[in-house]
Order: sequence, then C-alpha cells, then structure tokens
Amino acid sequence: MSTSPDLAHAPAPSSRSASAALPDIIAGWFRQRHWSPHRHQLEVLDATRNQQNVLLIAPTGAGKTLAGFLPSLTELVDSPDLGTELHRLHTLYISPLKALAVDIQRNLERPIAEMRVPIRVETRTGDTPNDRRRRQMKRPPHMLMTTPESLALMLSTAEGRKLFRHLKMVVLDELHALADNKRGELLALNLAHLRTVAPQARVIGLSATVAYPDLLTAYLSKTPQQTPAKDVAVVRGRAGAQAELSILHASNRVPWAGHMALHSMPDVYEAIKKAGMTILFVNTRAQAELCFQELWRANDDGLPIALHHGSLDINQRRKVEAAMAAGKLKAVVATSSLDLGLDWGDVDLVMQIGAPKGVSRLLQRIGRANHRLDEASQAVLVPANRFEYLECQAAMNGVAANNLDGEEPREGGLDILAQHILGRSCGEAFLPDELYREVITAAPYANLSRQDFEATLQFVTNGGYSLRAYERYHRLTVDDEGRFKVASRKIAASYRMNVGTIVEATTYKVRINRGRVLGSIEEYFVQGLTPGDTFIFGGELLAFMELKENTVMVTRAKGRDKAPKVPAYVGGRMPLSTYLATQVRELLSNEQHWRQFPEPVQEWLKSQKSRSVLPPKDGLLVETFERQNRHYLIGYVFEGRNAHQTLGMLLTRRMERAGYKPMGFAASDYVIAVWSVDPPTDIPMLFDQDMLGDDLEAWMAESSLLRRTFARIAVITGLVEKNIPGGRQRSDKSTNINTDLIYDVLRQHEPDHILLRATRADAARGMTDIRRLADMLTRVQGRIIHKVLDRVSPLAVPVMLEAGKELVYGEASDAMLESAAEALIAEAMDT
Amino acid sequence: MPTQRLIFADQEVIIDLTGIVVWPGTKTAIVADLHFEKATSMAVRHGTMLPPFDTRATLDKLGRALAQYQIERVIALGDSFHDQHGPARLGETEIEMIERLTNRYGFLWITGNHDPCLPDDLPGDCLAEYQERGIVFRHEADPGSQDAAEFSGHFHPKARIRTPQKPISAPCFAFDDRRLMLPSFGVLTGGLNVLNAAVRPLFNEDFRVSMLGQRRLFAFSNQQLEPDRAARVG
Repeated sequence: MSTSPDLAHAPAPSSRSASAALPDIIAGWFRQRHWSPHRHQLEVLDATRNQQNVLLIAPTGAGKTLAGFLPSLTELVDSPDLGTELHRLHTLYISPLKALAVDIQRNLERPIAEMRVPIRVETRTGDTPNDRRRRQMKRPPHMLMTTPESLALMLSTAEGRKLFRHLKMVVLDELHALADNKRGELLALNLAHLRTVAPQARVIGLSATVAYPDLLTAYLSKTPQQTPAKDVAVVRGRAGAQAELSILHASNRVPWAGHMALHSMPDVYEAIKKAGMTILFVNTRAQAELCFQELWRANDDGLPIALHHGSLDINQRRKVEAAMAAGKLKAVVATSSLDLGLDWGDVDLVMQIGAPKGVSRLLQRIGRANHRLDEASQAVLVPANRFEYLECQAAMNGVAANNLDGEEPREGGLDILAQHILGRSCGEAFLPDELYREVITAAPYANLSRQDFEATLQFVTNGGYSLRAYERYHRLTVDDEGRFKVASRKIAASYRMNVGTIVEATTYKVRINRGRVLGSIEEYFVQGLTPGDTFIFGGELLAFMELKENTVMVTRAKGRDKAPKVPAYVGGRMPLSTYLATQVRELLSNEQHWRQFPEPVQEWLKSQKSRSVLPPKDGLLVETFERQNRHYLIGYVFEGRNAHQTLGMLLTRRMERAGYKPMGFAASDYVIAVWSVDPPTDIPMLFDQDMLGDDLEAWMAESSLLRRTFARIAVITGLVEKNIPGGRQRSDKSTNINTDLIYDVLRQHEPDHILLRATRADAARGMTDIRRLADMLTRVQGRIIHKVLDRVSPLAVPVMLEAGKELVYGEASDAMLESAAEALIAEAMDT
Repeated sequence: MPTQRLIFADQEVIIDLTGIVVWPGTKTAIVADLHFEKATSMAVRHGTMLPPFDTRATLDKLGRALAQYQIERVIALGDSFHDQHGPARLGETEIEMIERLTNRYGFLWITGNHDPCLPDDLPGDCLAEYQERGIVFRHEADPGSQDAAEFSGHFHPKARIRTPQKPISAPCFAFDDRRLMLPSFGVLTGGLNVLNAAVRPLFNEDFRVSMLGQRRLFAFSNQQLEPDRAARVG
C-alpha cells in the first residue's frame, strides 16, 4: 500500500462496527482489504451527517485524508444522481499546494475504481488547460481539487458561482499551513462567499497538531465571533508514539558562529549510512546546497543522496519524490519544500540540520519519519553553533512537554480585503450591506469595523483619496439600487491576472548547456553575476555564461579556482519562536541544565559566568566593552533576528541622539551588538519603553522595510499590476521604482490612506516583530544588568562573528556611493 | 556637494541636487519632464488609481528648488504635462500653485512628445525649441544637430554604479562638452539607464554623469557605470 499510504492504513481497532455506519459498497471495500475505519474517521462522518462543520486534528499517518473524504464518498455512493446525466459538484477540496491537489486526486481515484462507482474526480489549478476548465463548468465532476487562488478565480465569474450552487462539502487540507497567513485570509473570504452561494455546504478542516486550535475552529465556523464555535465539531485523531529525539554530538568542535553546520557533515554521513532512509531538513536553500555538496564530498560509498528545494525545477523535484516513494534513495537534503504534502516512502530517520526555530515546525518535520503511528519516529538535531546547541535542547524539551508554538490569531489585512472586494464585483453586483455581513463571517475579519470596510470599498472604487480626482474614473460602478459592479471587462481581466497574495521576487530560469532547465534563481542574485562566475545550484557547480531574456545560461564548471557563490533567497530564514527564546533563557540561567551539554559548550558558559554574568531569565543583560577603538554594546535580548534588526535600528537612532556616535550593528537570533565611537553609558535610557513611540514611527516611515511592504501591498491591492493583460511580467525593478515614488507622494499628502495603514499593520505584525520587542521592553524595565567589561565576553563572541552587519540609517545608500567613490579614487591613485 | 559647477558653451551653469540646472548669467533655471497629472492620466487610460497628488508634489518640489537661487526665468524642457488633456484635469489648488510660480518667474514651456501643444491660457511662452547665447533648448536631444551646446530632457537619464555593498541606481545629469541632459523632475517618473542604446550614442566617449544622492551629487565618468543587467550581457 505504499503508493497511497495516507489514504489507507493498517488495520485499526474500530470503536464500533463499521458496517453499521457505512454504505454497503464502502463497508465491503474496507472488508475486502481487511481494514476497518479509524474511530476519528467515523466521528468526522457522524458530525457531517449532523450538518456540522468539522475540525480534524491528527498527526501525519493517521489516515487524515480518508477521514476528510469518507463523508463525501458515503453520500456520493448513495446518491441517486450517480451515474445519471445530472452533473453536480458535490465536494470541493482545497490544498495549499498544487502538487498535493494532483496527488490526492490520484490517490482517491484508486479506491473509487476498486469500489466500482462512477464518481468523477478532477483537479483545477493554474496548470489546468482552458478547454478542460470550460468542460468542468459545463459538466462538473463530483469532486474538484483546487487551490485558494483558483477558488478565488472561479468565484469571480457568474458561471463559477453557478458551479458551486449544489455544493455539499468543502475539504480544507493542511489547514494549519493556511490559517495564519495572507493566503488563509484570502481563502477565508472566499469561503464566506462560497457559503453565501451554497449555504448547505459543510466544511471539514484537516490539520496537524497546532498551538491554537480555537483559531482553526473559528476559521471553519460561520459565526467566528462566538467562542467556542457551536457549528464546528472538533475531532482528534489518536496521538502517535512519542518521537525519540537526540542531539548529534559532532566529533568536530562545535563552532562559535555560523548556521550551516558543515562541521557535522562527517557524523551526519555516518548516521545516514546506518539508517534506512533519511530526510535531512535544513533551514534555507543555500544551506541545502552547501550540505548536499559536503555530504557528497564524504560520500565514499556512493550512496544515493538527493536534493530537494523550492527553486529546483518541478520535474526534478517530482523525480526525487518518486525515487523516495520507490525506496531508491538513502537520503534527501530538503528545505520546507518537503514539510507539507504526501508521504513519499518509508523514512526512518529525520535529521534537522541547524536549529529548529520552533517546536511546531520541528514536530511537523519529525512527523515525516516512520508513518506507522505506533512506532516512535527517530529524529536527530544537528546544531550549527553553540547557541543553537541551547536552542536544540530547548526544542527537545518543548517536544517532550508538547509545548507547541505558533502564530496567534491575527486580524485580516485590508489589502487582501481590497483584492477580494474587486473579485467579488467581477462575479455579480453586490450591496455593501450584504457584503459586509458576509465578510465578517470570515474569522480573520470577524472584528472588521464597518468604517474600515467602507474605506476599503472606497479604495477599490475610486482610490479612496481625500482629493476627489477620480470621481469620474471609477473601477466599480453603482447602479440605482446601490449595487456595486466592476466598471469594465478590462479591470476584471486585470484582476484575474493578478489574483493571489504571494508577491514573489522576479526569478530567472537556470538553463544548462542551452538544454535542460535546472530551476530558477532570484533576480538580485543574477544581478551580482558576471560571465565566468561560478555558483552552486541543484547540487552542481555551474559557470555563468550569459543572460538571455529571462534565462540564465550556464555550463558545468570544473575545478575550484575561487570560492563559488551560493544563491541566497529572500526570506529564507525563520526567526526563533518566542517559546524557544524563553526556554533558551531558562537553560542559560540555570546551571543544573548545563550537565547535558558537551564539554566545549559547558566551558563556554562557565567562562561567561566567571568573566561576566549569565543572562538572567527575566531581566536583560547588557555588556559594554572597548575593542580596537570601537565601543561595543551587546544586548542579550533573545527575541529573534527580525525583532533584533528593528531594535538595532532604534538603538542606533537613540545612540545618535545621545551623542555616542553609533557606527553599525549586527543581529543574531539571540543577541544584538551595536558599536559606536563613544562608549554608551546610560543603558536604561537606551532601552526605555518609549523607544517604540516616536523613534519607531520615524524609523518605520524611512525604512526600506516599509517600502518593500508597501510594494507588496500595492501589487496585492491592484494599485500597480505585476501582470498586465497581454503583456509579460514586469521586472522587480520597475515595480520597485514606481511604488517607492508612490509611497513618498502618498505619505506626504495622505498619511492615513488605507494602503499606508495596511502597510504599517503588515510591517508591524509580520516582519518587524514589534510586539515581541514591546513585550521584552516591558519585561526588562528596572531589571537591566549593565556589565562594563575590559574585553569581549565568551557569549558575545558569536554575534561579533556574525556576517551581514548593517550600516546605520537610511542614508546608507549615500554611504555606499561614497565608498564606491572612495574605492575608485584609491584605485586611481594606485596606478 | 549639493551643487556642481560646469562651464558649458563658455557659460557657467550650476547643476543642483533637486534636478534643476541654474544659469546664473541669465538668471534662468532649467527643468525637464515635470509630467504634471501623470496619476490622473494613468487613471483615465489604465484604470489604475495612483495617488492624485503628484502635480502638487512636483510643484511644491519645484517651488523649493527655484527659491534657492536668484533667478527670474524658468525654462521647462517639455513633457511638462503627462498628456495633452492634462491641463484640463488640473485641480484648483494645482492651478493656484502654477499661477504663483508663473507670477514670480517668467516661464518658457518647450513642447515635448507628451504635450506637443499647450493651452493658450497657460501663463508664459510656448515654443518647440529655443536658442540663447549659443545654447539650444529642446525636449529631445537631436543626434544630427551641429549645435555648439544643447540642453535637453526626454530620456529621464539614470545611472547605475556598483558599490562594495550592492549596485545603486539613481537619476542623474549626463553631459559631455556639447550636450547636457537633465533628469526627469516629476515625482512619479521612472528612468532609463544612460548606457542604454537610446541614450549612449548621443554622447561622446568621455561623457560624465552626476547622480542624485540623498544629500549630495555623485560625479562619475561613464566608464565607471554599469548597464542594467539585461543590457550588460545580452
């Protein structure tokens, strides 16, 4: 049964006789296979029979997918329509991954064929050809597998809405991966729309174990304001056996800094050799490439070790997955590209290379190993540096205590709402009253004020500017009854081209020897390449030849004259979760815990204790010292890299005002380091709570972070278009220039415009982790320990070695031009 | 340095960080590609709703740029309006702002490809081309001309330079001994790399640029510049 492991599982004791609950055809199918349904599968069925929505929380391997489809199969095999010419869509399945939708379709077709029932299952994604889309509208399948974006598109046409009129069931897969982000917001709005069209439909959400199940029940409910939601039944699958976790004790010394963990690769290789099949999860695509190289360097036995990440060509990825399923691989180095989706075979060891960053994420990854529920999954954590050692230990404790971390519920973004309103106007005219009542049934928008709704509607209609310049050029028109409708076909076409929430960086295809496409790399990396440069991609050493249109032409490179580059990717690194940060502080402050660490780590902590002090559990340790004519300030903040980046900006701003003449800063997941010309003395002043007031406002307004966020929001809301009907994708460059200029004009003339509000909200909640900073500042007031040292402390060494140091301030670009000018002058003087 | 002095056709001119050129000998300021009413133009033509504040923002910036100098006259080198119907879409505030400027300074509007004819009631003079003391003022540089000196706009020149950290691209003045090309002044205008095939051949081999930084101008010779990525290796 290895081809459809998630659908059909080993015999399980059932709580009651399956045949009583199931139609004969399905009961017979189970009997033939000597299986019986799991308890939770029947519970899901019961709930849907009671017209309830269902949240099923179960670990991977618990037969979640079958649980999700059993109600539909049960209703369909008994349906009098079946086999007649009456074609009605019964079930809509929505997955965050296109590929998963396709896989699930295949896996469903098998039991359907075995039951010999004429149930038709089809997929509809961005890849579905136009003629099949038209046929699906005319002659709908019984079950349709799709993605949130395709659903939005279908709902934006009158015939699409017609398709869903008779819908009975909606299945949302991998709900935990959707509910707390922008795609989830878009899906929630479309789900609300779907319920207006098909009020009879029940919704089943399938989720891994999560930190905030209430968030997911609200998400599935028609009345998300109520807690707990009365219309959602929560079913829990049987928990699997506790995973067996350990930390790899590398025979090489644990390095002080770095995130690649290459020092451990010889030991990792030995572990791979001993195991059956191993997945090595890494944190970034660059790390995947480097680890893969390093493993192959050690691979004297010629073990089949493969590479899997999101930038590799889809065909290449499918090949690797197929090889895994067929048991032909010994190991796969993978990024989060293997976090979601089907099982690809009998994995019996998961190795997490580099710190896990969060307990939930680690559990999800561990779940990839050994999908037999009753056997413990084996997982090994491989820390890349000393701090990561502490983090790995914290994560292990978290897994043992089942302390999940995760995003708390968040308010839906007005940018997504704007996109949805435009989409809504493309399908059918709407009354604002009705649409508002519908929108607030979507959980992320349950608390949306009527005022914000109106402001967003205004924005979609005429830009929403106080200056009434666009009274004559509306995107939406209003009829005599007050119904809003899209003003032209052109605007509707443009909406359909640009639907979605993922504004990806422009990428270039990588083509080898004018033949095969290996995958794609991001524009900014391409910009830094000159012909002859070598770089590692897809596990190969490549030499850049030339750029043709949107394709990077490469050949295989030989030898290693100079160090090859490794493409890095925007947003590749996740910050340390709050839970792990707290745990790391606890581990540091309590010497009892140290005994479990390897000798070098223990020594490191002991010498910190004797030379300075250890960071306290609740307060904040700040060290200052002088080194090579610079004065360093080290703050042991432990709030994650993103929060530290923001803190670095704010601290340097404040130090500038205090006359300390700050020069730059570096941020790691654990620590912030700032250096200045003069010694910072008034530490409590620097870390005062009011930092998040005016300074933050001023910094945010200037920051490139806000500009980037605005650029994304401008695309999502359709203010600027990434895809022009009939045209090709605009390059990042022109989108950037335009939105920067727009941002400046808007900020100057209408600082409270809805787009700027959405930008600030987005930046504050997602990327800058402002709330973590605020909580930290509140926690440490009056508890700041300032140690003045005569030299660098042991705990400060890692951040001093961190790469990626930031120059102070927005005038960085002038500074860079100056350094270019200086370098050029120096060059000129030399010759 | 926020300004840079050049000798051009035996005349001293000052190029300014704001993007204008000042000709002290004739108390004149020169500005190019104001593109008034670009946002409303986009709304009419493409249905996009960019912030309709671009004209006032551009006028505001122009007013401040001019006030730094003792000048009496302004020459706008064409594309002052983003399209021919731009003047009709001006709001009251914008009309007042233009009037305040045209009352204070004499205006010469050179026509451009975006605004080939300007309305009669626009204060100031309107010409397709103008010449004074050996310098020709036109919208688009004329590759065939033998003029001793020429001021033009049209191309929205930008330059790109590699720095130790990352490449930086910014609007620039571009000039050799005969031509001086101004960056676009309108707040919602983009730019074209001076090494692009449409711009590069207009200049001789020694042409220079002065890039507009945040606080100062940065002078580079053209050999120091980078083309945009596609042009570089294509």
